[in-house]
Amino acid sequence: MLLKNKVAVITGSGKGIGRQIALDLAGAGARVVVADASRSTGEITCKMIKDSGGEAIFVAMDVSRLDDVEKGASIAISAFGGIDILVCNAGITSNRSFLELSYEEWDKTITVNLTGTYLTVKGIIPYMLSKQKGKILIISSSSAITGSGGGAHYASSKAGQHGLLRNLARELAPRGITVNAIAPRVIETDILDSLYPPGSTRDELIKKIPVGRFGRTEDVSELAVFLASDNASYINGQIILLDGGRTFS
Amino acid sequence: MLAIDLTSKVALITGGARGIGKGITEAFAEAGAFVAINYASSGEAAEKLAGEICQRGGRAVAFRADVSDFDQVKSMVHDIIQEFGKIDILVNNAGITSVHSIEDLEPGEWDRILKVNLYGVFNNSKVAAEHMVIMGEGVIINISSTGAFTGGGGGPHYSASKAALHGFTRALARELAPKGIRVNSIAPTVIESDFLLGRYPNPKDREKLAKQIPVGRIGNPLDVGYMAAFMASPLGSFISGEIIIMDGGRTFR
Repeated sequence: MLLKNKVAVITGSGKGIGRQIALDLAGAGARVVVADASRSTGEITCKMIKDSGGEAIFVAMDVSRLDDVEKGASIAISAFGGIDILVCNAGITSNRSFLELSYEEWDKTITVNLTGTYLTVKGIIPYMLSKQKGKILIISSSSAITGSGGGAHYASSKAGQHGLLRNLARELAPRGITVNAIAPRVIETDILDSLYPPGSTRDELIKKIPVGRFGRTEDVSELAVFLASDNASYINGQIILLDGGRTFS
Repeated sequence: MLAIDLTSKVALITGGARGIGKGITEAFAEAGAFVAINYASSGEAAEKLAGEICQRGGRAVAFRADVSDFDQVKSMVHDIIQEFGKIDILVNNAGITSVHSIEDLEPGEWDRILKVNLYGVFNNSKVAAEHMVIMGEGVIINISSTGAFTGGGGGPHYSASKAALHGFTRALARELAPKGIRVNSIAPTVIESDFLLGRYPNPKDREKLAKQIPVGRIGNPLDVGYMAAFMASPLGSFISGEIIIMDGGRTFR
């Protein structure tokens, strides 16, 4: 068991990529804190983990509120005694051209995706620093590099995570904490369904991906398990583009 | 002779009165552009610079606006169009920083830096792009920082704000290039500005710093200015969505 007895907090783990990461971290032996703004979907992830013999608790968390993160962290500490792994996955997007993008929609996306990542790290880092050990993973997006995936609001929020990551990686590594990111591109989730409804545009899209298929949530979660493990202890400050070879083809 | 020619182009340079922004303003004026020098608090420096440019036979006017305030930006752009008739080039240069670690960085300070460095770029680009789309052409240049890649420059807030500009640049370039608008970014580091002089007041320390830079010197604001002018000119017309690192070779040495 790669992550036996490790405690992992995964934000936005009520569905999609976040849920799969929670399931696979639990499968690798971690005790999982399912953090999500939605109780109903978060509780389902918890049940899925428990049904397969894992340990999980749900905490309600709106990542754009520091008090929410701090409350969630203290619940996690009471339940499991520490936090070893943090996966910042919670995020939102919308398909909007820059000319149509309102200030409010820009602000909301930046606040949840970028400021939310900072607040999550801010609220949880004291528990890692006290043990001088920890792994932080950020689920960003290839959008940071290509500018695709919804619009300028989304791409800015995701690229911003990369700058945050580079700072944290150099500041925290000397204190035992590594920070990395996965930047997925076209993973089969409901976000993909909304950006590309099933049909001919979707078939065209597959042709652009050298490996000949869309990414699966498991592609992200399996990499996340590896990066969260001690096998990855020399990997720090990296952004892994998980795109089937598409972006630079 | 091959030369950068911005004759009769109108350029808005945010934070254009000091530091790197001043270098950009001077380069654009030298290339023949009419320059709108935006400032938030450096009114005296902005007026002085505009005066010097006008004395040399150029045309420059100072405009006050806090870039983090959408309404102020909107009214400034309106005033610039009243004055010059159009805006061809927007250089998003205004930026601030402060030194903090993740532990002592409070949410209020995170917001303050993001509002200027990131939201300020959104505000100016949003208003200017609407105008440029109608004209069917335009250039936007975002001044970021190598801190986006290295995590340096002050802290998590600063490097996040600057890296975000790279995603913004790529997204805008993608969307606006078909409408005749090119969007690019320059990521400078160790440029001789008030900020750098404040951090390295002792000339001996600056010499030591220069030795870490492969080209053997600290950058000059005009280095960034010339690159921005090149990118904005017809010579740079095939450059879109690009991020140019200007660091004398330091970052990836």
